[in-house]
Parts: sequence; structure tokens; C-alpha cells
Amino acid sequence: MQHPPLASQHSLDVLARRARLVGSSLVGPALLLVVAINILPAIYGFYLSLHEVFFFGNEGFAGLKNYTELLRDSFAWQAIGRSLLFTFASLAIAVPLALLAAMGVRRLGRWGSVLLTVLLVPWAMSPIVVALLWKWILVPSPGGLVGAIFTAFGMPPQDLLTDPVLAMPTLIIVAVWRNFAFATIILIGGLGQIPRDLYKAASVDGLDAWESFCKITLPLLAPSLLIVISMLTISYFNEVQLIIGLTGGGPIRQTSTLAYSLYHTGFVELNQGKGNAIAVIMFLINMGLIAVYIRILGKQAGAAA
Amino acid sequence: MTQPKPNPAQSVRLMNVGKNYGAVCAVSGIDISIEPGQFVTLLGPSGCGKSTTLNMIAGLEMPSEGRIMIGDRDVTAVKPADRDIAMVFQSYALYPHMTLYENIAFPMRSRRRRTPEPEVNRKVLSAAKMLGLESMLDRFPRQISGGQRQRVALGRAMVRTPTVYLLDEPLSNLDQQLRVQMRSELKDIHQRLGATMLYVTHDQSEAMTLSDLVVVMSNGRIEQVGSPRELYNNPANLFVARFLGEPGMNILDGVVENGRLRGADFDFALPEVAANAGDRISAGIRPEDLQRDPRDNPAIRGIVRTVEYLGSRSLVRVGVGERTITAFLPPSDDIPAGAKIGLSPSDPDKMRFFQTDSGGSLHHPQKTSG
Amino acid sequence: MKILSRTLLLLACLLAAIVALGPILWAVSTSFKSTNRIFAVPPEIVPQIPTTQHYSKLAAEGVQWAFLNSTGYAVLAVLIALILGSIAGYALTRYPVAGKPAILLVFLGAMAVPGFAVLLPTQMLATGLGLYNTWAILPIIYAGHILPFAVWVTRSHFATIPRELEQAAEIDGYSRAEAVWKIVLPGAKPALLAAATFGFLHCWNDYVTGSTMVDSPNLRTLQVALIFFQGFHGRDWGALMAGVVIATIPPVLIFLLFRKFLIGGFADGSIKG
Repeated sequence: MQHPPLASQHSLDVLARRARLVGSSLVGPALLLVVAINILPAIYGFYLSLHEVFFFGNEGFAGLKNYTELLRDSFAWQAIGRSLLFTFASLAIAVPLALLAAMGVRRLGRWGSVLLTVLLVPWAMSPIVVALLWKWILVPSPGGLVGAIFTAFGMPPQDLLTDPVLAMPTLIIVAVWRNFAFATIILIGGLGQIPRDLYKAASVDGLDAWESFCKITLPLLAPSLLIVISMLTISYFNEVQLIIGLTGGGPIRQTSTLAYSLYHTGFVELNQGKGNAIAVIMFLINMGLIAVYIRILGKQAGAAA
Repeated sequence: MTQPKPNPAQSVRLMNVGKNYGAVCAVSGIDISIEPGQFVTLLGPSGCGKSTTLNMIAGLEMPSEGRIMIGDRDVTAVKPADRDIAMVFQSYALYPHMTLYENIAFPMRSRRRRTPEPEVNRKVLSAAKMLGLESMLDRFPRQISGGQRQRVALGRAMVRTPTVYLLDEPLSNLDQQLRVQMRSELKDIHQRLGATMLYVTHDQSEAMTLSDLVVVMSNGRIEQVGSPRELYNNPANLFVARFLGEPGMNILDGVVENGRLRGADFDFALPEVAANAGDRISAGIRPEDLQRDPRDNPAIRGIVRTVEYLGSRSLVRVGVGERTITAFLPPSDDIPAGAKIGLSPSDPDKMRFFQTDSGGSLHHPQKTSG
Repeated sequence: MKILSRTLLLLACLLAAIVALGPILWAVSTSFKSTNRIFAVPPEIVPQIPTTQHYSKLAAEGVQWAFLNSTGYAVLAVLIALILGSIAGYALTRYPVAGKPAILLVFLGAMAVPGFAVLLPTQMLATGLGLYNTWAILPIIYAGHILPFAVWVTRSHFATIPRELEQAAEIDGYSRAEAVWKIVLPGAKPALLAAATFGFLHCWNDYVTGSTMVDSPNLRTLQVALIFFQGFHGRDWGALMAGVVIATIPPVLIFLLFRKFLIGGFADGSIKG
């Protein structure tokens, strides 16, 4: 049987190869920029952390010296402790608040989206501007907003930001004020995915509102909670701009978290080797925290399913 | 309205077209020749390669081998936009952010085929009129029903007056009633436009009612090409015999002895076909070509398994040896399940014989395999 | 009972709204008070004698140039990220790309790396490349920060747009690029706007990157300029609050305009970052 001439196998191969080439060259520029801005500095930072670097000058390989020095330094351990305190205290306030707000927004219907928008305005603001704003709110004078409240209760206005005991709680409140509503968005999405029939079934089965919250809402919300908690953890653990703006790590280092130490060591003291060692430690702690959350909440979600 | 004259540029030829995905062969050895103005259906079970074949004609997929001609032009490596074809997708592929008017006008507004706006307007309106969409042209696809979307997709194909229409299971997302209605509308449109249409479906009733020519495919190969009548009356092989018809042709496997075909519980006289004693041959009989045979020695002996009363007739399933065959019998016959029954072909000329091993029909000129 | 709980709910929401907006409105009010009225006791909620003197003072210090810098950096970074990101996002859903799983991992990993943690080495690399303290460094870094996010969002959105729509457009006589421009991009508008809004907020609201990558006063971002201003005029609360107001208007305005897309993107899980 006579076959007609075939399309050239060669030219079709070329077309397939061209498609792959086109694909890779379209992804290329984005990949290059991301690697250059995010990945490469991370690797370089790890490299620098193994060197003595001061004032932009690399003075040679130092092995783990930066790390051992840090681990021997009680201030570093205190910074880790303050970071964890700041992170978990903020989380402990922000997550319940966000959940409460999410349920309120859903209950309100049309006005709910207005409320959500209002709550999100502080989140849209710059942390450093929020710091400036709150410095003025907290100014210790009867003419200040918080000062006026103190005066109204018959107390002299306190300077919350320079009080060694109160500075950290104040910082935490401002941090939560700025971004808790962001978590609300995700929780609203999560709540929306819980089938309404489950609540009807629960009320038929005789569960009251609190029981159905504990036994239906919370377990089924676990995946969203995991996302929210992970995102907030990273955000709080790495928070530095609010601290720079509000307290500068003071008073007497009471608000000097690990993130702030990194800023101070690297950009103020210009000890870049040690700064990078702090960054590496921060990175490890970040990863560790996320891993723990995935463990705990992942198990809960699995048990609920 | 007189039927437009077919234009020779509207012919389509596929020459030994094949497509591989890596080591997996999707289709191979596809030879089809379509005359201008024909309505041709690619018919086959899902996964048989009919959509791949259509996509290669559209230029959405590149064949791994072979050539595709539209008119006298080799379009094997030509971009879809330059093939002058229109396609209706199973999902309709309406542009969600455009109104129906914009959807239908879209093909005329490309840089390649820039059309003056008054003409665009005229064509959109005339297509809309033909399809009964005039009142909803400013709506968006999400605001209309499935049947209306189907019409918009057709309208978008029509305004272009392309050389070839490609339709990929265009009716499969509609409900039964609408499907039958759109089927006859489609036939009407084909006759009015006189265009070449290539239609892909897994629904044989669509293929049989609409087509001039049906291409039956399975496992990436063409099983048979022919008019619906040819396919039904004279299937080229066992696959086509079983696939076409609802239910398909009954197949009984036997061995040739003394010019007769014999098997478990049946015995037929063989017509003038080339078969030697000892050959393994399969006999094919359509259910409607069977009748009851009260004689002691009927051609087929079996046991009634089920009887489905269909009003004008009854569909009777009969166990013959290890097989079950089906027969359409008059509804007046009272046949109890479990009873013995004798059957014979009402017209022995309508029986078809196949080689059991190769599946090829003995009534067709033998092709060497491959 | 039902009315009571409804009332309580409304009261709680009103309280929440006051806590959220109160401090901001207080700053707005302060920024329009003359310096001698700022510390008035009891505090004036609405300025009795409004003045724009603080805004004039900021203008006299040249803060408007920093405002323009911030705007320019943010717009440039968002444009770079959206263009490169949607091209990459498109290619990742439609083309065979060598090493696709590894590439996706890079984008995902880059989202997890907090930009602040790699700021030190970035500063040293930028210095080494001669990009430190140039107009280009901040847009590049910001674009790098928001790109993984832009790729992720556009990719997941492109994946929901049926391939058949583009095929239909190609058959209708359009090139692949035209099909993407006329069909895919309009379809992905919500994702693109969400990514643009998120990206703009990231850039505009940054302080640490801006303060560590450029040094010259004429290259400063608004945030950095405000902190410098605070350094010189630490007690000038009227002017500082005027600065807070002008630094807050752009991001809040953009947020209010596009909140539908942003909230939608986060709520349905298509944005995670």
C-alpha cells in the first residue's frame, strides 16, 4: 500500500522541544528574580554567619564562633525568650479575637462586611506608621488619649512604653490591634465551609450552642486555624518594625526580641557575621514552630474527619 | 432557500495521521477523505481517539505523523487561527466576560479577519435570528440556559462562514429532550449552510441521524468508514457489529461443517462466502431479524432469561449456550422467563458472517492486516 | 432574648469599630490642631480652630518627594511582579517546563522566607553589585518579595480557566498571545487585582528594607523620611500625625478600593502568603 509522504518527524520534534523552551523561558525571569532576592541572600547569609564580618568587611572564616558566642550570651537567650513571649502572647489574644470577629461578621450579614473592612484598616497601615501613631496615643500627658483615660480614673498618666514591666504588654496590644483582623478573613472562609446541616443535626441531638462550638466549629475549623496560627506566628516572631518604632528594644532591653537583636546587631552595631547567625537561628525556630503546628493541628483535623 | 453549492476548498483529507504521547499511542493510521459539504461523524466509545483526531484537524494538537489537508492545502503544521475552521466545544467555551453579542462577534474582530463593524453587526443579528437568540444578545453566558449556550457556540461558529465546522460532542451537556431538538436543528443548519461538518460523538443515534458518513473508531484506529446504512447493514468487523444498534448485533461463534455453521445450540446454512470446513466463523444477526421458530429443530435453541415489554414489541434475552442474545419479538407473544424457545433468522440474507479470530467480515474485501 | 443578644452583638461590633478606627481618627484630629491646642485638657475630639500648618511644615521639609519615591517604588515593583509573575504563572499551567516541581518549591519556599531575615546579606550583595543606594534597588527587592506570591495567585487562577477558551479564541483567528490578552487576563482580573493590592501594601508599608538599602535623602521612602523627621522633631506631634495621615491614605485607599478582591482571594484560600 502506498503511504502518502509523512510530516517530517524531525520538524514535529522541534515543535515539542520549542514548547518546552518557550515554557522555561517564560518562567525564567520570575525564577531568576526570586532566586536572586530570596534564595541567594539566604544562602549567602548562612555563609556569612560562619565568618567574622564587621562593617561590611569579611575578616575570615570563623566556623561556629558566632553561634557559640551567641549561645553563651545570656542576652541572646533572653531575646529568644522575649520573642517567644511576644509571639505567643500576641497569638493568644489575636486568635480568639479573630475567631470572635469572624463569627460576629458572619452573624451580622450585610453589615458584617462593613465591620470586617473597618477592622482591616489598621492592617492596611504601615507598622512603622502604626508605631508613630501609638506613640502619640500613649503619650504620658493628660492631653493624650490614654493619658486622658488615666486622668479620668484619677491616676497620673503613665508612660507605658518606658515602664520595664508594661512595655512588652503594650507592644503586644499594639501588634494585635494592627493585624488580628487579617486572621479573621481566613477564619470567615473556614467557617463558611462548615455545612449548616451539621448545626441543625447538633441541635436535634440536643447540643447547646457552646457544645456545638466545641464539638463542631473548632474541630472543623482546624485547617483554617492552622493556616492562621502559622501565618501569625511567622508575622509576630519576625516583627521588628513596630519595635523599632515604639520602644527601640527598650526599656533596658525589655522588648529586645530576637528579631530586634538581629536588626540591632546587624544594622546598628554592623556586626554582620553575628547578625546572620541570629538570622539563621530565627529561621530554624520559624521552621520548628510551623512543624509543631502542622503536627498538632493536623492530628486534630485528622481525628475530626 | 436553495442549498449552497459545495466548494472544493471545503474538503478534508487525513493521510495516515497518528499521534503519540510519549510511548503511548493515542491514534494511528487515520485515513479519512471528506467531500465538500458532507456531514461526517467520528463515532466511538470514550478514549477511542476521536477527540484527539478532531483536535489535530483543528490544529490544537500536532500529529506525530501523517498529513492533514483542507482543500488542497497541507495544514499539518498550520496554526489553528490560519486554518479557516470553526469549532464548537463540548463545554461551549463561551467567553465568560463577554456578552452573547460580543461572543458571537469575536471571530470577526480578530486582526486576521478584521470585519467592518456594520457587517459584524449584520452577521451577528442574522445568526442570532437563525438561532432564536435575538432577545438576549446583551446577556452574559452565565445568565442563559444550557441550550441557549449551545446556540451561542453555534452562532459563533456560523458567523465566520468557515471552510469546515468541527463539533466536539456539542450536545452531550444537554438533557435528553433538548438533545433531540438540537439534533434536528443542527441537521437543518447543515442543510441550509451546505458546509462541511465534522462531528465527534459517542452517541450512535446522533451519528446515525445526522451523518452522511460515519467513521467508527476504537483504540485509536478506524474500524470502518461508511454511510449509516452501510455500517448498520454490513459492518466490516465484529467491533462495529456489536457497537452499532441498540442493542448491538447478536454474535454466535461456531465452526464450519459440511457447508453449515454449527455451534452450541445453533446450526445455520452458510451463504456463498469463502469459508472452508473447520474454519472458526461468527454469525451476526440483528435482534429485529430473529423470529420465533416453533419447529422441533430450530436454527437456534435457547432459554428465555428476561422479557422487556416495550409497547410496540418486546425485547427478549435468550441464553444460547454460554451466550445471551437479544431478539425483538411481537409484543403479543406471551413468553415466560425460563421457558425453552426456538429462534431462526427471518431473512437469512441479512445475516453477516465474520472470521472469529480476526473479527473481519467475510462480506468485505479482505484487507491485509495493518 | 433574641433582641437582647442582637443588641449585645451590635454593641460589641460598635466597640470593635471604635477601637479599630479611634486611634486613627485621633491622629487625623491632632494633625489639624494648632500646636498650642494639641495638649489641651480635656482633649479636643474635633479641632476647634483647624489648621493645615503641620502639613505645610512637612512640605517645607520636602516630605512630598519621599511620598513620590514610595509611590514610584511600589508601582514599579508591583508592575514588575505582576508582569513577570503572570507570565510565569501562565507558563506553569500551560507549558511543559523543565523541573516544574522544583520551581514550584522555590516559589513556595521563597514565600516562607521572611524578607527581613535575609536583609543583612541582601544589603551586602547590593553593595557588592553597586546597587546600594540607587533608585533601582528598592523596586527590585520589593518585586522579589511579592513575586512568589504573584506567581502563586495567578497560577492557581489560570488553572481554573479552561484551556478550551484559549483554543476557541485561537480557532476564532487570534494568536496565542492575543488569546491570553483578550480571554485569559480579563478572566484573571480578580487574582491580578488581589496580587497588586497585596503587593502595593507590602511595598508601601515597608520600613526596614527602605532604611537599609538606600541612604541618600532624595532616595528615601516616606516611612524612612518620617522616622528621620521624628529624629529631628521628636515632640512635634502635630506634624508627626500629619505624616501618619499622609502615609496612611494611599494604602488604606487602595485597600478600600480593592478589598473585594483581596478579601475574596484570602477567604477562598487561593491566596496564602
